Amino acid sequence: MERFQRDLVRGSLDLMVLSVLAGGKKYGYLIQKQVREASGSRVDLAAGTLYPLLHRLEDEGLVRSSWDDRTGRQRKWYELTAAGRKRLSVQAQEWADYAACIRQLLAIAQVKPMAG
Amino acid sequence: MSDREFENYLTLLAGLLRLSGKQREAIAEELRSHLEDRLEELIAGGVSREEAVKQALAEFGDAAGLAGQFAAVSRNRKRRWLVRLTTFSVAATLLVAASLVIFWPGRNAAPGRAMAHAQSSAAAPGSAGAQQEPPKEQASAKKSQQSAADRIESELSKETSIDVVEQPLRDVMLMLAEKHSIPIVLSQKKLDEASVPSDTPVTKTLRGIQLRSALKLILKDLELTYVIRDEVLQITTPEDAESQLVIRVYDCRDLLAMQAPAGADKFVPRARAGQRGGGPGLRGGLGGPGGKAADSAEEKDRERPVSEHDLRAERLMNIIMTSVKADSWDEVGGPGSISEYNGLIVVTQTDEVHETVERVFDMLRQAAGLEAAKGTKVVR
Repeated sequence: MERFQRDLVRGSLDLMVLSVLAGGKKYGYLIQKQVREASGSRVDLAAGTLYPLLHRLEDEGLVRSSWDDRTGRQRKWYELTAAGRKRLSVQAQEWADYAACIRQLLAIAQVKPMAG
Repeated sequence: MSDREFENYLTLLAGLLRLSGKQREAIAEELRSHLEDRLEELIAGGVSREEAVKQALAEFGDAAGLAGQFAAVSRNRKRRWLVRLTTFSVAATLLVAASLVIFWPGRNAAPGRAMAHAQSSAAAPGSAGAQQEPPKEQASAKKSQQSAADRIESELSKETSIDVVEQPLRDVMLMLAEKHSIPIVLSQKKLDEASVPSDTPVTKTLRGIQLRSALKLILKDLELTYVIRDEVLQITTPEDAESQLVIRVYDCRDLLAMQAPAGADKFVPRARAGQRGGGPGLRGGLGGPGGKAADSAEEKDRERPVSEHDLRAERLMNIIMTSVKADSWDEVGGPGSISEYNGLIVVTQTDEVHETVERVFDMLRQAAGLEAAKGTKVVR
Protein backbone atom coordinates (compact mmCIF):
# COMPACT_ATOMS: atom_id res chain seq x y z
CA MET A 1 0.00 0.00 0.00
CA GLU A 2 1.20 3.49 -0.74
CA ARG A 3 2.46 5.77 1.97
CA PHE A 4 0.38 8.66 3.17
CA GLN A 5 1.26 12.01 1.74
CA ARG A 6 3.94 13.81 3.66
CA ASP A 7 1.84 16.90 4.21
CA LEU A 8 -0.94 14.84 5.69
CA VAL A 9 1.42 13.11 8.09
CA ARG A 10 3.44 16.11 9.12
CA GLY A 11 0.71 17.74 11.18
CA SER A 12 0.12 14.67 13.28
CA LEU A 13 3.59 13.37 14.06
CA ASP A 14 3.51 14.62 17.64
CA LEU A 15 0.21 12.92 18.20
CA MET A 16 1.51 9.63 16.79
CA VAL A 17 4.56 9.62 19.02
CA LEU A 18 2.63 10.64 22.12
CA SER A 19 0.06 7.90 21.43
CA VAL A 20 2.73 5.24 21.09
CA LEU A 21 4.30 6.37 24.35
CA ALA A 22 0.94 6.19 26.10
CA GLY A 23 1.44 2.42 26.01
CA GLY A 24 4.56 2.71 28.17
CA LYS A 25 8.24 3.52 28.11
CA LYS A 26 9.96 3.07 24.76
CA TYR A 27 13.17 3.91 22.98
CA GLY A 28 13.40 5.52 19.55
CA TYR A 29 13.77 2.39 17.52
CA LEU A 30 10.69 0.83 19.13
CA ILE A 31 8.63 3.96 18.59
CA GLN A 32 9.56 3.95 14.92
CA LYS A 33 8.69 0.29 14.59
CA GLN A 34 5.37 0.61 16.32
CA VAL A 35 4.29 3.56 14.16
CA ARG A 36 5.25 1.58 11.07
CA GLU A 37 3.30 -1.48 12.19
CA ALA A 38 0.24 0.42 13.34
CA SER A 39 0.02 2.20 10.01
CA GLY A 40 0.53 -0.91 7.93
CA SER A 41 3.80 0.63 6.70
CA ARG A 42 1.97 3.66 5.38
CA VAL A 43 3.79 5.95 7.77
CA ASP A 44 7.54 5.68 7.88
CA LEU A 45 8.87 7.91 10.57
CA ALA A 46 12.50 8.50 9.52
CA ALA A 47 15.08 8.49 12.28
CA GLY A 48 16.17 11.93 11.11
CA THR A 49 12.68 13.18 11.91
CA LEU A 50 11.97 11.08 14.97
CA TYR A 51 14.96 11.94 17.15
CA PRO A 52 14.83 15.72 16.76
CA LEU A 53 11.09 15.43 17.43
CA LEU A 54 11.64 13.44 20.61
CA HIS A 55 14.19 16.00 21.78
CA ARG A 56 11.75 18.79 21.14
CA LEU A 57 8.98 17.00 23.04
CA GLU A 58 11.39 16.55 25.90
CA ASP A 59 12.28 20.25 25.82
CA GLU A 60 8.61 21.07 25.98
CA GLY A 61 8.26 18.85 29.03
CA LEU A 62 5.87 16.43 27.35
CA VAL A 63 8.17 13.43 27.65
CA ARG A 64 11.06 12.59 29.91
CA SER A 65 13.97 10.32 29.14
CA SER A 66 16.34 8.05 30.98
CA TRP A 67 19.28 5.85 30.03
CA ASP A 68 19.03 2.16 30.68
CA ASP A 69 20.91 -0.92 29.53
CA ARG A 70 18.54 -3.59 30.82
CA THR A 71 17.89 -4.74 27.27
CA GLY A 72 21.55 -5.50 26.73
CA ARG A 73 22.31 -2.25 25.03
CA GLN A 74 22.57 1.27 26.40
CA ARG A 75 19.38 2.96 25.28
CA LYS A 76 17.55 6.16 25.86
CA TRP A 77 14.00 5.46 26.99
CA TYR A 78 11.20 7.96 26.69
CA GLU A 79 7.97 8.13 28.68
CA LEU A 80 5.06 10.55 28.91
CA THR A 81 4.98 13.17 31.64
CA ALA A 82 1.73 14.40 33.15
CA ALA A 83 1.83 17.33 30.76
CA GLY A 84 2.38 14.87 27.92
CA ARG A 85 -0.69 12.88 28.87
CA LYS A 86 -2.75 16.01 28.98
CA ARG A 87 -1.45 17.16 25.61
CA LEU A 88 -2.25 13.74 24.19
CA SER A 89 -5.88 13.87 25.28
CA VAL A 90 -6.29 17.43 24.01
CA GLN A 91 -4.75 16.55 20.66
CA ALA A 92 -6.72 13.32 20.43
CA GLN A 93 -9.94 15.24 20.91
CA GLU A 94 -8.89 17.80 18.34
CA TRP A 95 -8.03 15.07 15.88
CA ALA A 96 -11.36 13.31 16.35
CA ASP A 97 -13.20 16.57 15.77
CA TYR A 98 -11.13 17.27 12.70
CA ALA A 99 -11.76 13.81 11.27
CA ALA A 100 -15.49 14.21 11.92
CA CYS A 101 -15.40 17.53 10.15
CA ILE A 102 -13.72 16.06 7.09
CA ARG A 103 -16.14 13.14 7.05
CA GLN A 104 -19.04 15.55 7.17
CA LEU A 105 -17.66 17.57 4.26
CA LEU A 106 -17.07 14.45 2.22
CA ALA A 107 -20.60 13.27 2.96
CA ILE A 108 -22.01 16.57 1.70
CA ALA A 109 -19.93 16.26 -1.44
CA GLN A 110 -21.10 12.69 -1.75
CA VAL A 111 -17.60 11.52 -2.37
CA LYS A 112 -17.02 7.89 -1.58
CA PRO A 113 -13.58 6.57 -0.83
CA MET A 114 -12.23 4.27 -3.49
CA ALA A 115 -12.75 0.62 -2.70
CA GLY A 116 -9.60 -1.28 -2.02
CA MET B 1 29.69 -4.46 17.39
CA SER B 2 29.71 -0.91 16.27
CA ASP B 3 30.88 -0.37 12.75
CA ARG B 4 33.54 1.95 11.49
CA GLU B 5 31.10 3.52 9.06
CA PHE B 6 28.73 4.24 11.92
CA GLU B 7 31.49 5.78 13.95
CA ASN B 8 32.51 7.97 11.04
CA TYR B 9 28.98 9.11 10.52
CA LEU B 10 28.46 9.84 14.20
CA THR B 11 31.77 11.65 14.49
CA LEU B 12 30.83 13.83 11.58
CA LEU B 13 27.39 14.45 12.99
CA ALA B 14 28.82 15.29 16.40
CA GLY B 15 31.21 17.71 14.74
CA LEU B 16 28.33 19.41 13.02
CA LEU B 17 26.27 19.74 16.19
CA ARG B 18 26.95 22.99 17.88
CA LEU B 19 26.12 21.79 21.33
CA SER B 20 28.04 21.09 24.48
CA GLY B 21 30.23 17.99 24.52
CA LYS B 22 27.87 16.16 26.83
CA GLN B 23 24.79 16.82 24.73
CA ARG B 24 26.66 15.82 21.61
CA GLU B 25 27.77 12.54 23.12
CA ALA B 26 24.26 11.78 24.30
CA ILE B 27 22.85 12.29 20.82
CA ALA B 28 25.57 10.21 19.19
CA GLU B 29 25.01 7.45 21.74
CA GLU B 30 21.28 7.43 21.17
CA LEU B 31 21.65 7.29 17.40
CA ARG B 32 24.32 4.61 17.66
CA SER B 33 21.96 2.28 19.48
CA HIS B 34 19.35 2.91 16.81
CA LEU B 35 21.79 2.15 13.99
CA GLU B 36 22.85 -1.06 15.69
CA ASP B 37 19.25 -2.18 16.22
CA ARG B 38 18.52 -1.53 12.59
CA LEU B 39 21.65 -3.32 11.46
CA GLU B 40 20.72 -6.43 13.46
CA GLU B 41 17.25 -6.46 12.03
CA LEU B 42 18.42 -6.07 8.45
CA ILE B 43 21.00 -8.82 8.83
CA ALA B 44 18.41 -11.09 10.43
CA GLY B 45 16.26 -10.43 7.37
CA GLY B 46 18.99 -11.83 5.15
CA VAL B 47 20.70 -8.65 3.98
CA SER B 48 24.48 -8.80 3.72
CA ARG B 49 26.32 -6.94 6.42
CA GLU B 50 27.84 -4.45 4.04
CA GLU B 51 24.51 -3.74 2.44
CA ALA B 52 22.84 -3.45 5.84
CA VAL B 53 25.32 -0.83 7.01
CA LYS B 54 24.71 1.18 3.86
CA GLN B 55 20.97 0.96 4.19
CA ALA B 56 20.89 1.84 7.88
CA LEU B 57 22.93 4.96 7.20
CA ALA B 58 20.91 5.88 4.13
CA GLU B 59 17.76 5.81 6.24
CA PHE B 60 19.30 8.39 8.53
CA GLY B 61 19.86 10.82 5.71
CA ASP B 62 22.89 13.04 5.44
CA ALA B 63 24.61 14.08 8.63
CA ALA B 64 24.43 17.77 7.84
CA GLY B 65 20.66 17.66 7.43
CA LEU B 66 20.19 15.75 10.66
CA ALA B 67 22.51 18.07 12.55
CA GLY B 68 20.46 20.94 11.20
CA GLN B 69 17.31 19.38 12.68
CA PHE B 70 18.89 19.04 16.09
CA ALA B 71 20.22 22.56 15.81
CA ALA B 72 16.70 23.83 15.15
CA VAL B 73 15.50 22.14 18.35
CA SER B 74 18.21 23.77 20.43
CA ARG B 75 17.69 27.14 18.75
CA ASN B 76 14.05 26.98 19.69
CA ARG B 77 15.00 26.14 23.23
CA LYS B 78 17.20 29.22 23.44
CA ARG B 79 14.55 31.32 21.79
CA ARG B 80 11.94 30.28 24.31
CA TRP B 81 14.22 31.34 27.12
CA LEU B 82 14.93 34.59 25.44
CA VAL B 83 11.24 35.24 24.98
CA ARG B 84 10.62 34.59 28.65
CA LEU B 85 13.37 36.95 29.67
CA THR B 86 12.60 39.77 27.32
CA THR B 87 8.85 39.83 26.92
CA PHE B 88 8.65 43.31 28.34
CA SER B 89 11.54 44.82 26.47
CA VAL B 90 10.64 43.45 23.07
CA ALA B 91 8.49 46.39 22.10
CA ALA B 92 11.18 48.85 23.06
CA THR B 93 13.87 46.91 21.24
CA LEU B 94 11.78 46.70 18.10
CA LEU B 95 11.17 50.42 18.22
CA VAL B 96 14.86 51.15 18.50
CA ALA B 97 15.70 48.68 15.76
CA ALA B 98 13.07 50.13 13.48
CA SER B 99 14.28 53.68 13.94
CA LEU B 100 17.85 52.57 13.34
CA VAL B 101 16.86 50.97 10.08
CA ILE B 102 14.93 54.03 9.01
CA PHE B 103 17.35 56.72 10.06
CA TRP B 104 20.65 54.97 9.60
CA PRO B 105 22.67 57.33 7.45
CA GLY B 106 23.61 56.04 4.05
CA ARG B 107 22.36 52.56 4.74
CA ASN B 108 22.36 51.86 1.05
CA ALA B 109 26.10 51.94 1.16
CA ALA B 110 26.14 49.19 3.78
CA PRO B 111 28.23 45.98 3.61
CA GLY B 112 29.42 44.67 0.26
CA ARG B 113 29.82 47.98 -1.49
CA ALA B 114 31.95 49.89 0.94
CA MET B 115 34.25 46.96 1.21
CA ALA B 116 36.45 48.11 -1.65
CA HIS B 117 37.57 44.58 -2.04
CA ALA B 118 39.04 45.34 -5.40
CA GLN B 119 40.06 42.46 -7.56
CA SER B 120 41.89 42.71 -10.82
CA SER B 121 42.98 39.92 -13.04
CA ALA B 122 45.29 42.28 -14.85
CA ALA B 123 48.35 42.94 -12.76
CA ALA B 124 50.16 46.19 -12.02
CA PRO B 125 48.25 48.82 -14.01
CA GLY B 126 45.06 47.95 -12.14
CA SER B 127 46.46 49.17 -8.87
CA ALA B 128 46.68 52.79 -9.95
CA GLY B 129 43.05 53.46 -9.13
CA ALA B 130 43.35 52.39 -5.53
CA GLN B 131 46.22 54.74 -4.85
CA GLN B 132 44.11 57.74 -5.54
CA GLU B 133 41.53 56.92 -2.91
CA PRO B 134 41.79 59.49 -0.16
CA PRO B 135 42.97 57.82 3.05
CA LYS B 136 40.40 59.55 5.21
CA GLU B 137 37.54 57.87 3.44
CA GLN B 138 39.16 54.52 3.91
CA ALA B 139 39.54 55.09 7.60
CA SER B 140 35.87 55.80 8.08
CA ALA B 141 34.84 52.87 5.93
CA LYS B 142 36.95 50.65 8.14
CA LYS B 143 35.28 51.77 11.29
CA SER B 144 31.70 51.69 10.08
CA GLN B 145 31.47 47.97 9.50
CA GLN B 146 33.32 44.77 9.58
CA SER B 147 33.09 43.34 6.12
CA ALA B 148 32.36 39.70 5.47
CA ALA B 149 35.95 39.25 4.31
CA ASP B 150 37.30 40.72 7.54
CA ARG B 151 35.13 38.43 9.57
CA ILE B 152 36.43 35.41 7.68
CA GLU B 153 39.95 36.74 8.13
CA SER B 154 39.57 37.03 11.87
CA GLU B 155 37.95 33.61 12.10
CA LEU B 156 40.92 32.12 10.26
CA SER B 157 43.12 33.12 13.16
CA LYS B 158 40.94 31.33 15.70
CA GLU B 159 41.77 27.95 17.10
CA THR B 160 40.14 24.85 15.77
CA SER B 161 40.26 21.10 16.14
CA ILE B 162 39.38 18.45 13.66
CA ASP B 163 39.26 14.70 13.84
CA VAL B 164 37.98 13.01 10.72
CA VAL B 165 38.55 9.61 9.18
CA GLU B 166 37.81 9.10 5.51
CA GLN B 167 35.22 11.85 5.37
CA PRO B 168 34.30 13.49 2.08
CA LEU B 169 36.05 16.81 1.57
CA ARG B 170 32.66 18.45 1.09
CA ASP B 171 31.46 17.34 4.54
CA VAL B 172 34.69 18.30 6.27
CA MET B 173 34.46 21.82 4.83
CA LEU B 174 30.82 21.99 5.83
CA MET B 175 31.74 21.00 9.33
CA LEU B 176 34.38 23.73 9.59
CA ALA B 177 31.97 26.23 8.10
CA GLU B 178 29.37 25.36 10.72
CA LYS B 179 31.85 25.37 13.53
CA HIS B 180 33.21 28.80 12.65
CA SER B 181 30.05 30.30 11.22
CA ILE B 182 31.71 31.35 8.00
CA PRO B 183 30.65 30.58 4.44
CA ILE B 184 32.92 28.02 2.77
CA VAL B 185 32.25 26.96 -0.80
CA LEU B 186 33.98 24.53 -3.10
CA SER B 187 34.85 25.93 -6.53
CA GLN B 188 33.28 22.96 -8.23
CA LYS B 189 34.48 23.85 -11.71
CA LYS B 190 38.09 24.30 -10.66
CA LEU B 191 37.99 21.13 -8.59
CA ASP B 192 36.60 19.24 -11.57
CA GLU B 193 39.35 20.64 -13.75
CA ALA B 194 41.93 19.46 -11.25
CA SER B 195 40.16 16.09 -11.00
CA VAL B 196 39.59 16.41 -7.27
CA PRO B 197 36.00 15.29 -6.64
CA SER B 198 34.22 16.97 -3.75
CA ASP B 199 33.83 13.61 -2.05
CA THR B 200 37.56 12.94 -1.94
CA PRO B 201 38.10 11.27 1.44
CA VAL B 202 39.94 13.30 4.05
CA THR B 203 41.62 11.84 7.10
CA LYS B 204 43.07 14.30 9.57
CA THR B 205 43.50 14.77 13.27
CA LEU B 206 44.49 18.26 14.35
CA ARG B 207 44.07 19.93 17.67
CA GLY B 208 44.37 23.48 18.89
CA ILE B 209 45.75 25.06 15.75
CA GLN B 210 44.56 28.07 13.80
CA LEU B 211 41.78 27.44 11.32
CA ARG B 212 44.07 28.93 8.67
CA SER B 213 46.70 26.27 9.28
CA ALA B 214 44.14 23.48 9.50
CA LEU B 215 42.75 24.44 6.10
CA LYS B 216 46.19 24.63 4.59
CA LEU B 217 47.14 21.22 5.94
CA ILE B 218 43.97 19.56 4.73
CA LEU B 219 44.06 21.21 1.33
CA LYS B 220 47.75 20.79 0.71
CA ASP B 221 47.34 17.01 0.55
CA LEU B 222 44.81 17.46 -2.23
CA GLU B 223 46.90 20.10 -3.99
CA LEU B 224 44.24 22.67 -3.30
CA THR B 225 44.19 25.96 -1.49
CA TYR B 226 41.69 28.55 -0.36
CA VAL B 227 41.02 32.13 -1.22
CA ILE B 228 38.66 34.75 0.20
CA ARG B 229 36.60 35.93 -2.71
CA ASP B 230 33.11 37.37 -3.13
CA GLU B 231 32.61 37.42 0.63
CA VAL B 232 33.09 33.67 0.99
CA LEU B 233 36.01 31.38 1.59
CA GLN B 234 36.48 29.42 -1.61
CA ILE B 235 38.30 26.13 -1.92
CA THR B 236 40.05 26.04 -5.24
CA THR B 237 43.23 25.20 -7.13
CA PRO B 238 46.45 27.15 -6.49
CA GLU B 239 46.44 28.26 -10.14
CA ASP B 240 42.99 29.75 -9.77
CA ALA B 241 43.89 31.38 -6.47
CA GLU B 242 46.96 32.96 -8.01
CA SER B 243 45.06 34.33 -10.95
CA GLN B 244 43.03 36.41 -8.53
CA LEU B 245 44.90 39.50 -7.53
CA VAL B 246 43.57 41.52 -4.66
CA ILE B 247 44.49 45.08 -3.84
CA ARG B 248 45.10 45.89 -0.23
CA VAL B 249 46.29 49.10 1.34
CA TYR B 250 48.55 48.70 4.36
CA ASP B 251 48.82 51.65 6.68
CA CYS B 252 52.53 51.76 7.48
CA ARG B 253 52.73 55.36 8.62
CA ASP B 254 53.76 54.14 12.07
CA LEU B 255 56.58 52.02 10.69
CA LEU B 256 57.84 54.84 8.50
CA ALA B 257 57.58 57.49 11.17
CA MET B 258 59.17 55.53 13.98
CA GLN B 259 62.23 56.82 15.73
CA ALA B 260 65.39 55.70 13.99
CA PRO B 261 68.21 54.56 16.25
CA ALA B 262 70.74 57.29 17.09
CA GLY B 263 73.26 57.86 14.34
CA ALA B 264 71.12 56.28 11.67
CA ASP B 265 70.91 59.59 9.85
CA LYS B 266 74.41 59.39 8.53
CA PHE B 267 73.43 56.39 6.45
CA VAL B 268 70.90 58.43 4.54
CA PRO B 269 72.57 59.26 1.28
CA ARG B 270 71.82 62.48 -0.55
CA ALA B 271 68.61 63.22 1.25
CA ARG B 272 67.34 66.46 -0.20
CA ALA B 273 66.45 68.62 2.74
CA GLY B 274 64.33 70.95 0.64
CA GLN B 275 61.81 68.23 -0.16
CA ARG B 276 61.26 66.94 3.33
CA GLY B 277 58.46 69.07 4.66
CA GLY B 278 57.20 70.04 1.24
CA GLY B 279 54.00 68.14 0.68
CA PRO B 280 53.21 64.48 0.48
CA GLY B 281 55.79 63.59 -2.16
CA LEU B 282 53.69 61.36 -4.36
CA ARG B 283 55.63 58.71 -6.12
CA GLY B 284 54.53 56.28 -8.70
CA GLY B 285 56.21 53.46 -6.90
CA LEU B 286 58.20 50.85 -8.70
CA GLY B 287 57.62 50.86 -12.38
CA GLY B 288 55.54 54.04 -12.04
CA PRO B 289 55.91 57.22 -14.08
CA GLY B 290 58.81 58.70 -12.05
CA GLY B 291 59.51 61.71 -14.26
CA LYS B 292 62.29 63.04 -12.07
CA ALA B 293 64.19 59.80 -12.16
CA ALA B 294 64.10 59.43 -15.90
CA ASP B 295 66.62 62.20 -16.57
CA SER B 296 69.71 60.05 -16.23
CA ALA B 297 70.24 56.59 -17.60
CA GLU B 298 71.54 55.06 -14.37
CA GLU B 299 68.50 56.17 -12.50
CA LYS B 300 66.04 54.54 -14.82
CA ASP B 301 66.07 51.22 -13.04
CA ARG B 302 65.83 52.60 -9.60
CA GLU B 303 64.56 55.95 -8.54
CA ARG B 304 66.82 57.84 -6.28
CA PRO B 305 65.28 58.44 -2.87
CA VAL B 306 64.45 62.08 -2.45
CA SER B 307 63.73 62.26 1.26
CA GLU B 308 64.24 60.21 4.36
CA HIS B 309 60.62 59.22 4.25
CA ASP B 310 60.95 58.00 0.68
CA LEU B 311 64.11 56.15 1.48
CA ARG B 312 62.45 54.37 4.32
CA ALA B 313 59.44 53.54 2.23
CA GLU B 314 61.71 52.21 -0.46
CA ARG B 315 63.52 50.04 2.03
CA LEU B 316 60.32 48.76 3.54
CA MET B 317 59.01 47.79 0.12
CA ASN B 318 62.28 46.08 -0.65
CA ILE B 319 62.01 44.07 2.52
CA ILE B 320 58.61 42.88 1.44
CA MET B 321 59.68 42.08 -2.10
CA THR B 322 62.74 40.15 -1.07
CA SER B 323 61.29 38.31 1.91
CA VAL B 324 57.82 37.44 0.61
CA LYS B 325 57.68 35.20 -2.45
CA ALA B 326 60.43 37.07 -4.27
CA ASP B 327 59.54 35.82 -7.74
CA SER B 328 55.98 37.05 -7.62
CA TRP B 329 56.60 40.81 -8.06
CA ASP B 330 56.36 42.73 -11.30
CA GLU B 331 59.98 43.88 -11.04
CA VAL B 332 61.04 40.33 -11.81
CA GLY B 333 58.19 39.54 -14.16
CA GLY B 334 55.65 38.32 -11.59
CA PRO B 335 52.02 39.42 -11.29
CA GLY B 336 52.25 41.37 -8.01
CA SER B 337 53.02 45.02 -7.49
CA ILE B 338 53.78 47.32 -4.61
CA SER B 339 53.86 51.08 -4.31
CA GLU B 340 53.67 53.70 -1.63
CA TYR B 341 51.80 56.91 -1.06
CA ASN B 342 52.28 58.93 2.07
CA GLY B 343 52.98 55.96 4.28
CA LEU B 344 50.19 53.88 2.82
CA ILE B 345 51.54 50.88 0.99
CA VAL B 346 49.41 49.56 -1.82
CA VAL B 347 49.97 45.92 -2.65
CA THR B 348 48.37 44.03 -5.50
CA GLN B 349 48.90 40.37 -4.86
CA THR B 350 47.23 37.04 -4.32
CA ASP B 351 45.52 36.44 -1.00
CA GLU B 352 48.18 34.02 0.05
CA VAL B 353 50.98 36.55 -0.45
CA HIS B 354 48.92 39.23 1.27
CA GLU B 355 48.72 37.04 4.30
CA THR B 356 52.48 36.81 4.53
CA VAL B 357 52.94 40.49 3.79
CA GLU B 358 50.65 41.28 6.67
CA ARG B 359 52.62 38.97 8.92
CA VAL B 360 55.91 40.58 7.98
CA PHE B 361 54.52 44.04 8.79
CA ASP B 362 53.30 42.72 12.13
CA MET B 363 56.66 41.19 12.87
CA LEU B 364 58.38 44.45 12.05
CA ARG B 365 56.05 46.27 14.37
CA GLN B 366 56.69 43.75 17.07
CA ALA B 367 60.44 44.01 16.61
CA ALA B 368 60.21 47.79 16.75
CA GLY B 369 58.01 47.75 19.83
CA LEU B 370 55.11 49.34 18.01
CA GLU B 371 51.48 48.66 18.80
CA ALA B 372 50.69 45.55 16.74
CA ALA B 373 47.02 45.47 15.92
CA LYS B 374 45.73 48.98 15.51
CA GLY B 375 42.83 47.65 13.54
CA THR B 376 43.66 50.01 10.72
CA LYS B 377 46.46 48.27 9.00
CA VAL B 378 44.59 46.69 6.14
CA VAL B 379 42.01 48.08 3.83
CA ARG B 380 40.56 45.46 1.62
